[in-house]
Amino acid sequence: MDLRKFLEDRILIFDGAMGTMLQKKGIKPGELPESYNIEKSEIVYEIHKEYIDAGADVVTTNTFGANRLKLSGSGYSVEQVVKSAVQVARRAAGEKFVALDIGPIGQMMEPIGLLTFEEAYEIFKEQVIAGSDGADFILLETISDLYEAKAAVLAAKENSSLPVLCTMTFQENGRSLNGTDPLTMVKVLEGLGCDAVGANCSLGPEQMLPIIEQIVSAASIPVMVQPNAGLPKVRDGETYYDVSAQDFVSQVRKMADMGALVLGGCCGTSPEFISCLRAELDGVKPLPLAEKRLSCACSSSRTVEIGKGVTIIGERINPTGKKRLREAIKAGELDYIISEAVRQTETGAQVLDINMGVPGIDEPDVIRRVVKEVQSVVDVPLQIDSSNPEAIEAGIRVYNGRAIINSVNGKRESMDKIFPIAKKYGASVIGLTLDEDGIPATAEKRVEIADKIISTAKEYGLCENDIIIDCLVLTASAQQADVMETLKAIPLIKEKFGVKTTLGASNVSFGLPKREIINATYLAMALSYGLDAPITDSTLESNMQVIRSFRVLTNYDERSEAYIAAYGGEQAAQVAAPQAAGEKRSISSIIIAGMKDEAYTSAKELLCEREPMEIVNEELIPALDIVGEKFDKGEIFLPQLIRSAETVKMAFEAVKEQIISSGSASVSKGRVILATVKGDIHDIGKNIVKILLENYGFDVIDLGKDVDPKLVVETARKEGVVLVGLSALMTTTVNNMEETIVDIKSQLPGCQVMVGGAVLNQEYASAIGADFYAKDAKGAVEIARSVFGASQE
Amino acid sequence: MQIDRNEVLRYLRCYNEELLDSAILNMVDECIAEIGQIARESSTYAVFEISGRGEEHVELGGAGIVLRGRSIAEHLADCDTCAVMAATLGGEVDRRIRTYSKTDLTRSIVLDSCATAGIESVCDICEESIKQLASEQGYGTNFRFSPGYGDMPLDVQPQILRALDAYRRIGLTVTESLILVPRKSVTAIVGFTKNKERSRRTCAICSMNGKCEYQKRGMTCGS
Repeated sequence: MDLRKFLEDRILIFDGAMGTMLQKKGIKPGELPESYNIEKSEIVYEIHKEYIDAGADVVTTNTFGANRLKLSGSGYSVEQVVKSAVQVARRAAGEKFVALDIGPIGQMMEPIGLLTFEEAYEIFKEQVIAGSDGADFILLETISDLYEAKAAVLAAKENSSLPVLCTMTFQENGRSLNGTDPLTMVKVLEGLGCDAVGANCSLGPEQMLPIIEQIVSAASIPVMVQPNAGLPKVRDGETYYDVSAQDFVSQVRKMADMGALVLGGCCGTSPEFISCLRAELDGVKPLPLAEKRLSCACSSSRTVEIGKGVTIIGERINPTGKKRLREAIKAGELDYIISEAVRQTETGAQVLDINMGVPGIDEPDVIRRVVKEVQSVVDVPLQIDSSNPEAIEAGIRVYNGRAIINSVNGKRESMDKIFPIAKKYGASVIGLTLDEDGIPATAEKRVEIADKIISTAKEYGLCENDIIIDCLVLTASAQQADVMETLKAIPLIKEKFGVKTTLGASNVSFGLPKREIINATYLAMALSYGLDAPITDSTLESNMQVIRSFRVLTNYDERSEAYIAAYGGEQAAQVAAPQAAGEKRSISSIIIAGMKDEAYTSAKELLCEREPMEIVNEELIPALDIVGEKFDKGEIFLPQLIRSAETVKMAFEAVKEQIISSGSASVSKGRVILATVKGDIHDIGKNIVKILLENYGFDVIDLGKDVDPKLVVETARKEGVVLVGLSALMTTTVNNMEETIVDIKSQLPGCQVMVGGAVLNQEYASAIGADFYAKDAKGAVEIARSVFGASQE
Repeated sequence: MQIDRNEVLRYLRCYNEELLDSAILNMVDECIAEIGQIARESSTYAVFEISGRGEEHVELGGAGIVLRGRSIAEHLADCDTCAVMAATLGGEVDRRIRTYSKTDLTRSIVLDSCATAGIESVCDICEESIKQLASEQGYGTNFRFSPGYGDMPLDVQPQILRALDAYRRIGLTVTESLILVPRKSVTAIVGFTKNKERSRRTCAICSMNGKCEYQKRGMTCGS
């Protein structure tokens, strides 16, 4: 069916609620609505028929919850249910259309829940394949998690050729339950190639109006709306909806006038509503679609417009020239990468560049894991940076938002590989002005290459606002005479093509002393030449000074509010007096008092005089022992214990850096795997054990929560680990703990297991085959000490 | 939602406030405020008639739920009606606790305890409106009894969520291993009773009974 063609002349009218109608026809609570497709298909047929008779152009199959999770235990397969539902709908629809209905899976996705992106994709794929034959559309609806919507859209697009319509539900605060705003939804779903996008359920038509207004003003594709018959109300503990069909239609009419093209009803609506809607909209000429262009990148909860008041792209998650980060990437030390991500967003980065280019790693796999991890802690959009197209696609695919790709260049081969990825997933692309002949010497030649990149992008279905041109910084110490050519190219390219521009600005100072001086000056120059989005280090105050003042001088930072917030009043005093006078505290007293911010510097100072291992054994661990003792005596409590542990960790970070840069032997006293067992998501206890073990010099491989037994065994084997710590909080997950222990014991007889968690005790631990029971985090440290003490001596 | 600082300190197992330094106490106050900002507290309930019962089960026919266990049977012994409720603080709280666990573990633990206190408060508010409904119908109510209390198994969670359409209404789900997600969520049963002497929650039904740090100190957690 050609949706666009249809919508040129008339509005497409969908049906109303299925659930409400099934209730009217006597479905009982606890009965599975989807079973009606097989057991009482005549009832489903009647409902469809009533909607068709009321004037609906489309009926929606009774398959809202027909996924393998919700059907499990019903005795029916997804294929059975979906196929019979499509048949019934087809029979009732006659010449009219059938939409294959796919609702949310009903499980929370990672990182809050356990459902992975890949699992969600497989679940949707099964529904799509079962129902594509016989349907005219795929309708993905009532989705509140943008990530779930992305999995669903990809599953629909990759496994059928039907038009895909996707609607999300919004709360009265104008966001979905998971925090997505209408603009972000539109930009992400449009980018993924949806044929219509919109909102349904949750709210009544009146509360929906402002949301629809935002959707319509952002979308270049048709907008779809299916409101409830008002906000749900509760009377005597029962839910009902009280907007009349007339009132419903008068509000929905306003949506049509705004430009919505596909309309229908959700909970509480009936054939009466659709018949009124038909009467109201018959003969109404739909508003024509208009292109709404925006250069942007989106996380799941935020859309950043590129170039609006300077867009700062954080450069720090890139191992080039950073030994510590390179080590972290190789060791899979995600926490270090996360802390860099957080530090950059806290200092003002609005987009984060993610580059995992370290030789000898499985780059696509690492980038996939890092993207998932970073997006779970920061809400700024990400920029996937790699020279490996496979790694780029891996990162873009699992990204919960609309990313930027860094980068493509003017070489045909590069463009042919990267542009299809950008088109498929809806990503902006940074185009480097270099080609087969290398980086050009002049500004004019850069313009030519930009031209080639932009026109090729268009061949692939992208447009100007999907492209961000990087005019390529030259290093002043090497090519001083040409440095200005880069800057001169910026206004030429912007004017000629109307694209945004970026620069890896920090490269200019390579090889010179006091790089931050050159960098800040260059940044200021580039911005005044029109640079939109510098890729730079937001944690360097000198860069932020330039950008904050630029925002004032260009009248973007109104009334200089952000500038004053950064540099006025109290803040200024703090900057002026970094460390108040007074005697220097010993590192031991810093640890006991839990002064996290001072521990790193204090350890750095100590490292000038003493050996790393000496500091660990003679300062850090004795201080920790004192803290532990105080905790045992009830003189301090859990938050203070953890704060001291974090303080030690900061000191350890200084020690680690020293060791990496000097290449000396590691401080590790042994390596321990920690995991919260499969099915369990309570990981506070595990996190506390982790930090204490690290404090005492053990390297922890943290496999996280909900960990499959196989992964534990595989990791222990691959890394040669002899001590595994498992935690479980629920009685329902202790059996998974037992299963993990059985697997470890049968496959790795030399590996010992310690367990802990609220529902465990020594007796239970022994019963499930654990070698040790750790009653708390300190207990776990004692166990590790005994295991490794014994094996070393 | 009202989060009581003393309750947060109890969840943090800080048994003596005087031994805490001001930095920790400030953090508790900041985290209470933060929960206020990020929580999307919501709750829902429905009232069902008890359609059948035995010594170790209660049936709510209209909801398609069978509540199992001796303790819930006792809890609803003199009730012919009960409310089934579900409440949550929403997923952003989980996300924030998780983020801090990577960047500031102390704060993560404090925030977690504030959230625990927060969801209890949301439940109190929901229970209050149930109580009001009950009193309009001439009933009193007993305390809220959750799956996992006493010998009532957790495997009733999926039925409860289905009966309340909790995913659509408040975004609440349950995993295969019967953990509610978002994490800071509660489901519970509140009985409607004509019996004036209202029953109270005791340590006997708690899963921590005998292992509890408060009991060891001769105190109760107060919940």
